[in-house]
Amino acid sequence: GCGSKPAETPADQGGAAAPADKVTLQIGFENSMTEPIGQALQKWADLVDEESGGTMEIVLYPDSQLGNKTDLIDSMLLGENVATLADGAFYADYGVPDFGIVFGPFLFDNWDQCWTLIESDWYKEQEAKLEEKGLKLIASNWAYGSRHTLTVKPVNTVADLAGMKIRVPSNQIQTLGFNALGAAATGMSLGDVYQALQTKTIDGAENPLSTLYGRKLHEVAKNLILDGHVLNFTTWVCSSDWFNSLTEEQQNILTKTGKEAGIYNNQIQEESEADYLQKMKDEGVTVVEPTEEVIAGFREKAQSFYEQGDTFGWSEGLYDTVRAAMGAK
Amino acid sequence: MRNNKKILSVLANIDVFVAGTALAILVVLTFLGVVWRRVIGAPFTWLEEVQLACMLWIVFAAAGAAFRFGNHVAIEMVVDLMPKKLQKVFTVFISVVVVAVISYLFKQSIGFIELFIKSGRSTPMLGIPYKFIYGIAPVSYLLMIINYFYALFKGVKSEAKEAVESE
Amino acid sequence: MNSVLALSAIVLLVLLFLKVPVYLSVLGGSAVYFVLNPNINTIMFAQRAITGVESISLLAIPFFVCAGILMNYTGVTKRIMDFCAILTGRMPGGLAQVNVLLSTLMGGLSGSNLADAAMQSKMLVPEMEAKGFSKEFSTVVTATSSMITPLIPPGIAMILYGCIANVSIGKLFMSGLGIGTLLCTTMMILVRFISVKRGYQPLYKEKASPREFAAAAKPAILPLCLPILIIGGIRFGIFTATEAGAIAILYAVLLGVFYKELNLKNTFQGLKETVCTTSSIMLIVAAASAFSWILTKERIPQQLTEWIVGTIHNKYIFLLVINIFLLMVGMFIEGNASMIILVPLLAPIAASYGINEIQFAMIYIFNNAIGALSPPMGTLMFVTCGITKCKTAAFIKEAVPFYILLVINLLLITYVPVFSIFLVNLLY
Ligand code: NA
Ligand code: NA
Repeated sequence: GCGSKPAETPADQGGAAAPADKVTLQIGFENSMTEPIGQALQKWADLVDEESGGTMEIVLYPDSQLGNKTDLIDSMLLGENVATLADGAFYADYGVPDFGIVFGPFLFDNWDQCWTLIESDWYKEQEAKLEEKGLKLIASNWAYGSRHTLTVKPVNTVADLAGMKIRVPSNQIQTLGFNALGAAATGMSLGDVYQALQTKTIDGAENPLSTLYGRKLHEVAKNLILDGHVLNFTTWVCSSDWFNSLTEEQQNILTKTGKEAGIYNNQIQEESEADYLQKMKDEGVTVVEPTEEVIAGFREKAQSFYEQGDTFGWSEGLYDTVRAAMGAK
Repeated sequence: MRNNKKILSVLANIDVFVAGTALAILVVLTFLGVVWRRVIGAPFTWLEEVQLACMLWIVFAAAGAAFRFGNHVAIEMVVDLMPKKLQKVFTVFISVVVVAVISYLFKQSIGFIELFIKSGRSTPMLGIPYKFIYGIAPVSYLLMIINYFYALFKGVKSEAKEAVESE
Repeated sequence: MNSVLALSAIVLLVLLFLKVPVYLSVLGGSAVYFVLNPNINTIMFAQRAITGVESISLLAIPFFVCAGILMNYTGVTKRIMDFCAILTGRMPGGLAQVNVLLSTLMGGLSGSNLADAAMQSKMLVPEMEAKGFSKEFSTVVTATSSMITPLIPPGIAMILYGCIANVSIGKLFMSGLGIGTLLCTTMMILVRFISVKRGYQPLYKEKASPREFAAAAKPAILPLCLPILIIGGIRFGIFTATEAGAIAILYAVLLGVFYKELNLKNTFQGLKETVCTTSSIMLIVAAASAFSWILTKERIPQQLTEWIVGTIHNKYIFLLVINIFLLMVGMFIEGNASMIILVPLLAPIAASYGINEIQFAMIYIFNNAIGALSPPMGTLMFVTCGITKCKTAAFIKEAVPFYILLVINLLLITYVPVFSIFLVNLLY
């Protein structure tokens, strides 16, 4: 996504010529520096510098400067010292199908369940499988935001979504997830969405508020329903070959500071979310805060998604396993 | 006899046929995508990945042919100012550079594809293995070299050919 | 700057000017960097060179190239040209004027100047040559007028800029409309001036009779429905600007069948030309993306920016220097790629000098657009020259008055804010 101009350009401090013995991790991501994620990353970079006494550094490349997510992940498989943020739907495509479920619609009831899940044995199992594929998760406790739906015509209940063309990122989980809700999921690159909404080629888009606002989509679609269909926690992933080449102490510094920065991220995420919501209201967006009952309607409709486990290549009874692992009743 | 000739001509232009087929598929699917989204209300969820694959195949399948038909651009102005004898030397130099750069690309592209053979990764919606999509690239690099020299010696309006001819 | 990067930039330039095909020059320069840099896996080189072509919005290139080529084979171009000849017949440099106006109108459709330039190189340049314009002049008018396309909404550059710098896209669109009109008007004046001087004759001395007008207009009606179909289709959200390209192709095929001018042979010929042209354009795009990836990785744009900020303290000098800097960047880096890197750094600096954000956006976008025309890496120049087979040296020589015109426009936009913000203030 993109946000406002950066308040600072921390990226400048790195410079091209670092001493050869200095451990450098290059983090490429789609967001810009002023978004909460960017600010939290800066915090992470500072923490790493501090904890390692300057022997390790994180260099930040915002706004997809280093390439898109698949390019970055492919380069990790080559052992490059890069990291990026990615989530379950992505890892499903990289050979760990069960991971995809965390991006399913209405899987979590609240954020606490997310944080319980990432500490669970099930999650550790998934991480291990991912490591076999060459990808190491450094931190998983970063909230990316609740994903909401912004539409041209008002949506008050799940029934209103019927047949609406909602843009989703081009992956199987999110496509079938929105189809389960009765919408017609439409794959499209994020850069095309503004124009597509303006011309009503599509009826809506979904994302966390920061992205919806950052992309200015609220200029051309004036109805927002705070359905929170996905509680989007995200993970920082790097090459496991590269990670294993570090000393144990260096590994610990990375994971520890990554977690710490994640906690900071989650604080500012929450504040900024309220801020974005207010801005959208001020700029004429009609916001629907659905009642428990309406959400229950969404949730019920979403159930058919979890019956398609075979399509995704899920393990037997995955939904129940994951619900148990997150401590849901 | 006539049939043989036809078959030969098809074989000689097989790269163009492959790229042209990818283009035709791209156009038709894009159009059908509009129809399915607008009229039937069921957008093709797999359209983007097929479109990108078609684009990749168009570009790389036709890259050799683009040498044959003189489509690749070069900045001629400096070399064209030189004496004819020197221009000939530069033709050799250009050929060496072309072969060197493309060979290096070929070598690295093999490594790139091995990555997908190893991971077995495929497109999210249709599950088309990426090794097939990207597999056109190394083939294309070989065809580029062959076609570069074909154009150089057999003659079409390629940049290198012009350098030779301008005597 | 580090020496490996410097070497790879030098190799790039040397190869470029020694007649090595452009995409191989850029890749050759980039290869030096990958070979000499032990910290980077060399397979990354192949990744950049291959996946650089994967972009949905770039699909517009093969589509509009193909539509343009098919229009030629189906007799559509000829019918439109006859109509235009009647419309502009008494103006000096008639078809050149049409060329400029058409790009302005097409700006409302395509959003991509490359596709527009490619289509008009196919459609208009042969007609212009047939009417006595030189190949160089026809190519230059086509290429420079295509600069108007991304300025008229919808424009990919404006959407991207609005996104990155957090500026209202609606306001940028209004501003772009004004700048695009300014450029169109001044360019038509220049074309008229050159045409009078060179004696590019008007086609007709006499005013066309209503009967002649009708005779020329009638065959053009069906082809002229295409822009309406496309504008309408995009405006009412039936298809996207990219998809419009595919619709244009099918419409062209239908017309060809209707006129009985399209057969299997010229269909194949059209497909062949499309794929070869697309391949040559896209390989350059991919190569440029590989090289700009290296520049990003080495933080070159940031270093240059830092240097600018540290050195200049006056607003007007800053604007002058920024223009020169952006023109230089535009010579070597693909516009969208450099925008992603530079806008987040430059926009706040401009704001700190008290420059209007919309005006600065327009300065930036205009510079970007000029970059596409300037050697050594002007994509518009290569696309048009590649299609018309015009020599780049001849192109550059012929383009000099147009470069001067663009610089005058740039100075107007830079130092007279009203051009950028008049329409915005009027409507917001
Ligand atoms: Na034009
Ligand atoms: Na350029």
